[in-house]
Amino acid sequence: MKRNLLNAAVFAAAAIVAQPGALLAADTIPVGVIANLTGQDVNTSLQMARGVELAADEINAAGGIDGKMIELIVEDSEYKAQEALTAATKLYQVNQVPAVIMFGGSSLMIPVGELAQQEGKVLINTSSSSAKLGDYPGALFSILPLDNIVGKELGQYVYDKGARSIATIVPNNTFGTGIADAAGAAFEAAGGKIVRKVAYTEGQPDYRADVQAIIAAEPDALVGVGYGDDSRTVFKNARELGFDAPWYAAYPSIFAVENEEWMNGKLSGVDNGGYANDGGAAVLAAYKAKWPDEDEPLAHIYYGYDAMMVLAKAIEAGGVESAEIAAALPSVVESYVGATGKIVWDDRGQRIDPPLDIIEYKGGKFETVGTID
Amino acid sequence: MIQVFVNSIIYASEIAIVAVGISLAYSILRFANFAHIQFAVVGGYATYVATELGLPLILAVPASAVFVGGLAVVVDILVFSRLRHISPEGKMIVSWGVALLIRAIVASIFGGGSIIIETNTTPIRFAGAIFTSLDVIVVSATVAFMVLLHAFLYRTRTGSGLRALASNYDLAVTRGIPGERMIRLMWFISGAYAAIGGSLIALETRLQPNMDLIILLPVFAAVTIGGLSNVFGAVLGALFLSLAQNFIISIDFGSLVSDQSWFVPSQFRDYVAVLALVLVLLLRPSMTKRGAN
Repeated sequence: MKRNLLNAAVFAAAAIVAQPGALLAADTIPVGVIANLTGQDVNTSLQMARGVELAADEINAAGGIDGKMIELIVEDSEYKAQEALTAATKLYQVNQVPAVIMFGGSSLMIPVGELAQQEGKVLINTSSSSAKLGDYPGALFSILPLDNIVGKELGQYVYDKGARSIATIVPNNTFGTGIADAAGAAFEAAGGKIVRKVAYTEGQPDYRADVQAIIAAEPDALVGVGYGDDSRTVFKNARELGFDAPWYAAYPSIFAVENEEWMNGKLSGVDNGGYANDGGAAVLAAYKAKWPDEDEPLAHIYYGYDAMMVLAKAIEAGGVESAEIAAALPSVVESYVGATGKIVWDDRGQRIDPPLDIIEYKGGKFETVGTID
Repeated sequence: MIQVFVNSIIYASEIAIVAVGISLAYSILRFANFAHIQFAVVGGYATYVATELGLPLILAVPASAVFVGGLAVVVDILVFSRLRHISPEGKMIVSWGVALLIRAIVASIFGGGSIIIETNTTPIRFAGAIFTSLDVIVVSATVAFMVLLHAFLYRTRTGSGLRALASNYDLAVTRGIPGERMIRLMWFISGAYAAIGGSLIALETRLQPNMDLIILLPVFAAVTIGGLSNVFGAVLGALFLSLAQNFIISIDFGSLVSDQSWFVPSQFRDYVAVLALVLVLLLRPSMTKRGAN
């Protein structure tokens, strides 16, 4: 944690040094970045910001866009909606950035998406997956696929694995309930039955009663999502109370595993994939060259990288104004194959048909064991 | 239904052992000490540190109790002993300030993230209820420490002295009971019990600097229900509150009006504590007066 905070501070300091005043030089193109450099989920957010930084480095090293360098202006959302709005307002109105690349959950992304639409600006989402993000066409574009797509694949995957009755357990937010609804609908459509639904409020000291209710319902498997300390606590309660059924999840890689031995072979699910290509390998190499002492990067670095790259291509193709970027983005994406594979958008600028992997927790780490076509 | 009773007893055990310390301090000094909750948090962290240093849990928890008992005495010497003459409200506000200071110190040492103390537990199924071997230890430990406290207060001269101070401080001092020394002893016991309670809660849940906010409401609700200055009333208050909270979240309200199940989400159990507090304050306005000890 200390190293994460230090990294965040160094990244923020570097951004401040790169932007000595509110007025930017005319030979730069300002791009806003909103990340939670403090608060919860700092590490994944920092990884996204590093992905953006790697892409900006690459673009600037190649001479920038029509000779203008990308200038990143980083703001901290603290993983709070109000702080995210404050950051976005500052970036759009004071710094006059045409576009912002953002990390954060749906509770942050949706209000900032509304603001971007009101301001006539562009917001590129790298981390949020609520189906409601599609309500801001022309303003909010997603590099990450939405919950309904991943949830649907998860529901079918669970049925294909042989489960015929499931319980769902998710955090009670748009991300959690979105996944639970989509996965549950797909599972029931395939012929399965949901015997218990749990949507827990984050930050509780324990989830004993929820886990007991799930055990009492005797499902073939447990399906859900989770992250951070809460997921660790849910696992702790489940382990201690003797829950022993398979655990299927959307984005299992963002879980905080509590007990490696107990978790081995028990957890699997559908996660974002597509990094096993030349683009992903190049980003990984650049990451290791720039931060040689850091651990393996998280998936979010690839989403940050692709967000910056498609934005740069849109600026190059359309122009530096927000409306020009919004108009150019769909067409440049069509021909772009990035670190997260080929990006296909629907007519709202939301990612469909993404490359998805099946991953399992084995030997103390996640392994890719298949892909979903 | 048995599951609800089992959960209630476990939760009540966690709350009660923290709550008795508040009642003990209130019975003599007549103010609600908010810093007491932080003593419980420090106790949890102290147990964690002790286990990291290699102590087995059975030694780590007593070590934590001694450390926090000493901390409570130090806080009294530095802060509360200088405020004996001010109003209970003033002392209560100062205690909140002490709590915030302790929380900041804990967060600066251990960071804001949560810590799970590793334990080897075994799941137990009994009469349809599911619980763990750790739950059995938590309940047993609470019962044992309550019996110990009862024996101390009612079977020893020192305990009688403490009860005399709680009953009438001035008269007890006039009769030769060393008031200040007994107050320090009271703080030590109060802090030690907070540490034991905080350790049990940490073992059952997780350690985080803001866990005081999670346990503050149920603990104070239990103390209020039981009568602020009634040490063993706090235990009954914890049991009553825990039963009410666990029953509320276990009833399938949805099936009463439709064929869909709907349960009150577990996080709403805190609002049961608020409701209980309001009811007690409405129905027992005299509860702030000196109660039987």
